Amino acid sequence: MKKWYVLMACMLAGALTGSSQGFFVGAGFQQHYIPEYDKAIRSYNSGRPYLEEDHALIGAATYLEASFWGRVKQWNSGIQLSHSYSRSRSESCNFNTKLRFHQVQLSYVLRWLPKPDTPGPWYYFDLHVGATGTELSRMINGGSVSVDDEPLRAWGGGGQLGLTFSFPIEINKNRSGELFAGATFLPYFYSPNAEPVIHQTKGLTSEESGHMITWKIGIRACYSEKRKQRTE
Amino acid sequence: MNRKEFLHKSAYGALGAVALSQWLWACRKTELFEEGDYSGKVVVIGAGAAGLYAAYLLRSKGVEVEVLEAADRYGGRLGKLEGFADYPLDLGAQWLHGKNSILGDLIKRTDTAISRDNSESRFWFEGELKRSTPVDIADAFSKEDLPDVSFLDYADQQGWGRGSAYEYIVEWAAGDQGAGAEAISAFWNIKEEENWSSGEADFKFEQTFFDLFNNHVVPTIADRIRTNTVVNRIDYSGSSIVVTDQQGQTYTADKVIVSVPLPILQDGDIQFTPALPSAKVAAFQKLGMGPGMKVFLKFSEAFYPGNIVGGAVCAAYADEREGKSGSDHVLLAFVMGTQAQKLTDLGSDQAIINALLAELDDMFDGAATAAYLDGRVQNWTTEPFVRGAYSYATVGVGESRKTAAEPIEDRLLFAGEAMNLNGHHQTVHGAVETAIREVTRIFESAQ
Ligand SMILES: Cc1cc2nc3c(=O)[nH]c(=O)nc-3n(C[C@H](O)[C@H](O)[C@H](O)COP(=O)(O)OP(=O)(O)OC[C@H]3O[C@@H](n4cnc5c(N)ncnc54)[C@H](O)[C@@H]3O)c2cc1C
Repeated sequence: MKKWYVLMACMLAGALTGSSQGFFVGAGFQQHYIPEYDKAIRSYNSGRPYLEEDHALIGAATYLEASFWGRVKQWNSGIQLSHSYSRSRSESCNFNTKLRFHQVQLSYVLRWLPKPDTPGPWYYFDLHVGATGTELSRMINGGSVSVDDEPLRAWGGGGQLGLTFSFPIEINKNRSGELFAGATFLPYFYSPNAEPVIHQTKGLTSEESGHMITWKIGIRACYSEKRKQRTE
Repeated sequence: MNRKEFLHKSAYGALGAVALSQWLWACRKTELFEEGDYSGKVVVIGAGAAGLYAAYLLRSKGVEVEVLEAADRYGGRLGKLEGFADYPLDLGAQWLHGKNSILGDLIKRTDTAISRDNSESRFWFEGELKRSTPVDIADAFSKEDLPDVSFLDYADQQGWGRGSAYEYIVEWAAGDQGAGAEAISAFWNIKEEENWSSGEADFKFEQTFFDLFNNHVVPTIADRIRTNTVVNRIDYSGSSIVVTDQQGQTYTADKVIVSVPLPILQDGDIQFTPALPSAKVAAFQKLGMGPGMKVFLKFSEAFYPGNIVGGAVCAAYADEREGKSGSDHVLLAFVMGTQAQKLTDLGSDQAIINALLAELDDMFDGAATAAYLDGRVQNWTTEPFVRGAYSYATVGVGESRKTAAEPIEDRLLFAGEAMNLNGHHQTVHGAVETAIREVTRIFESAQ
């Protein structure tokens, strides 16, 4: 996980020194809906009556993002990198388990802008096209689970499409903020080793692939050279 | 509405949406099936690992369940031998094949003591015990591009077959899969294990595998198990299923889980009305389950170096003391397939023990007979309600396991080690997985 933060920090440094039109950093809350994971977790819970507490489904996640924007006429386009982290716990006597789910999304974002002399709109639509990579792992009683001395992990991935609404908030001429809310859809989310991580079996109740939907809400800070140019 | 108001409203709206989404999320079901989701009655036939776990799951969700077991004890191919050594021994399954299995959590939750089996093997090769052989036979049969021929035919093609120094090492590789080398398919054996996910390391119980079930699965269902109840008829022609035992007693159920060993289905011990589809009957026949036995030999000293692989009488001897807290020296002869049949044909336990001692004497210059104290034979081939070791993939088996495991009308259901489609057939955790699968099916059918 650390490497993603390092990457984001590099992007931040790049944006502050580079010639990009704008740089945004944001944080918020993301919710996942991954039916195949849900099925495996439900089967896990139902198949183990000896556990006092059920594992929650993977859902709420903390969300961080960073993006660079460049401007071509009426369009802003940029690259966005985001990371979300979610976990699900089950605490039983002698036996505490935790599923940890990291998601990294890299997408190309397109935003339509009004003409420079028209007053700013109340909201923007951002269209995202990109890819997702995920990592699912499990801990038992505080230690990472490994099989034959190899850490047990499920990598996953797929292409995604997303739509975000952003509501700009002016702070000063070249700094502003945005509230945002959006959703992404992965029609094909491939995560072949998830059932062994969640349910310690394979092909019993869930498939190697399915789809994933995420929705998010948050706030971002924007540093934009565009605003400087407007007033110059 | 001006921009400021709009932003305010959006912010409140967003917070509301988060709260609502969290609340809706918390209301989502975390179980595949819950108490009250199914109100019918279930009869489980067979009280082995699969049958016991199925009953345990059903009972935990408040479903009325009855387990009918032919033998005079529950456990099936799980059994415990006490008093033979100063530690308990497993009569049947003894290794947990990989900790990342459905049973792994039960073991941790219950603090059951297990340890990794790190015992070393020596190969009886060209009249000597060796640490390794020029060709690694286990590795050779783990490859994915093998042809659909028997282990023995493939070994013959490669020059390690009949008459070669590897002959009984090949027998060991097949025996590990519960088969004779002439019967198991090199291709399907690997293909069927494609989904194996529990790990390669083997673990041993300080107590026994049987104890895990006896202590943690059986207590909630003990009053639902009827032993000495040999089922011989299942009539599913009506709206309820009627199960009849050898004494003529009937049991009525809405769903029946059949978890008997494969030979019981192959030999037609249970008569189904209407008859099972011919494809299913053919699938039972296509799957293999060969002879198998465990012979425990107690010695005054450990003259053997650990496990021994490749004997002509028994291709796999294992040091039973590994993982146990006790001091007695017990060597297990794990005999499968053709070798198990040959020993069974000797006709008596003493003859079996003598044949094994003779082989060990040959390997260790008479040390076996000199140190021999006691022996005990557990022949699964002659157990009337098991009749073999565990299922394996025969040449040309194809998708037979899938057909064999298919439910009939979603109410006559098939569980047990041989019905596992996740690559974990031949194992206890594989049997348990089929229980979860079929219990899930019962609940799903009610939704
Ligand atoms: C020698 C040996 C060593 C093994 N070693 C291991 C190991 O180390 N690790 C591992 O994971 N697995 C091992 N196995 C396999 C493991 O034991 C089985 O996969 C598992 O126990 C099978 O459980 P089951 O419920 O499918 O069948 P079973 O345990 O065979 O249960 C089926 C039950 O059905 C009953 N029954 C049969 N006919 C009728 C009838 N007509 N009416 C009512 N009841 C009936 C039987 O009596 C039996 O109790 C071993 C097996 C053997 C034989």
